Amino acid sequence: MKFEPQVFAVVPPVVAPADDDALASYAAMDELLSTLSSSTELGSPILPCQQPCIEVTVTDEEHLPLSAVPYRLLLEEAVLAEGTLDDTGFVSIPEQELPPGDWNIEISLQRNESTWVVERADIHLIQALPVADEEEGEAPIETRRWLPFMDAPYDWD
Amino acid sequence: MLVINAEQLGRLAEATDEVFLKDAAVRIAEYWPKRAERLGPQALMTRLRAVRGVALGHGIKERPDLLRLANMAMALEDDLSGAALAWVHPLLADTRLRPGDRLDVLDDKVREWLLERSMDI
Repeated sequence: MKFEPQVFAVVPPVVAPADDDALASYAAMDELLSTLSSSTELGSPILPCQQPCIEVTVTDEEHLPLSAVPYRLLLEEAVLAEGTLDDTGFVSIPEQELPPGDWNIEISLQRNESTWVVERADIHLIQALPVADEEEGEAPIETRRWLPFMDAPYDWD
Repeated sequence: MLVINAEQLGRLAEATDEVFLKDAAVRIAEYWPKRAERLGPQALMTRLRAVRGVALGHGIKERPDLLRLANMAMALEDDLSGAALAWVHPLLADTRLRPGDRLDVLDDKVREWLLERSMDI
């Protein structure tokens, strides 16, 4: 009987690379992210304060603010928002897109102890057409198309 | 009146995106120090760019949403752009849900996946 010498290769010990506790790391970062407010979209240099919103200031015939007056904002007779104007006749409705259409804002005014009247201001919003691709070079500024100025929301009668 | 043309807006957006990606890399390194170190800064930025590409491809544009997706990518150890994690893409592409809701669904799945992995080890 002959014994052959055994040859063993020296294998370095397997060392698992250091790793994070995936569950804990994931949960911790997710918790932080849940506290972040919505911000700008990727690819947009527009700041968060420029998110779409509706802001209205209502004044009377003498251009004095109508403070603490009930209002209703309507889009083609559907109520979009209602509430009470603040002390400066102002209301801000955040994160609201303005689709084109016939808008109205109704203000309830107390003319005397027993009479309430509802004043309504009309706002007609049109959709801006997409800007056509321009030829080479900048078009003269006079030929650029600008959105038309619209009547202020308080400008009725 | 100052007029910013589309090309200039694009340049501004590129710059803000790069700043955002660097900020995201810092956050990732804070919460995933070992994985970030193992990847190295270049590979980490490459992964974040890939995740951004996936997010934009599915209409996910809000920055907190992108950070959530980057966190998921780190948890799954994948840039989400390939076919390695095939179950991720249908969830991201479910346009019946808003982007944030899609990420909520994906969040549950990622947590399940991580739990299963931790039990296997």
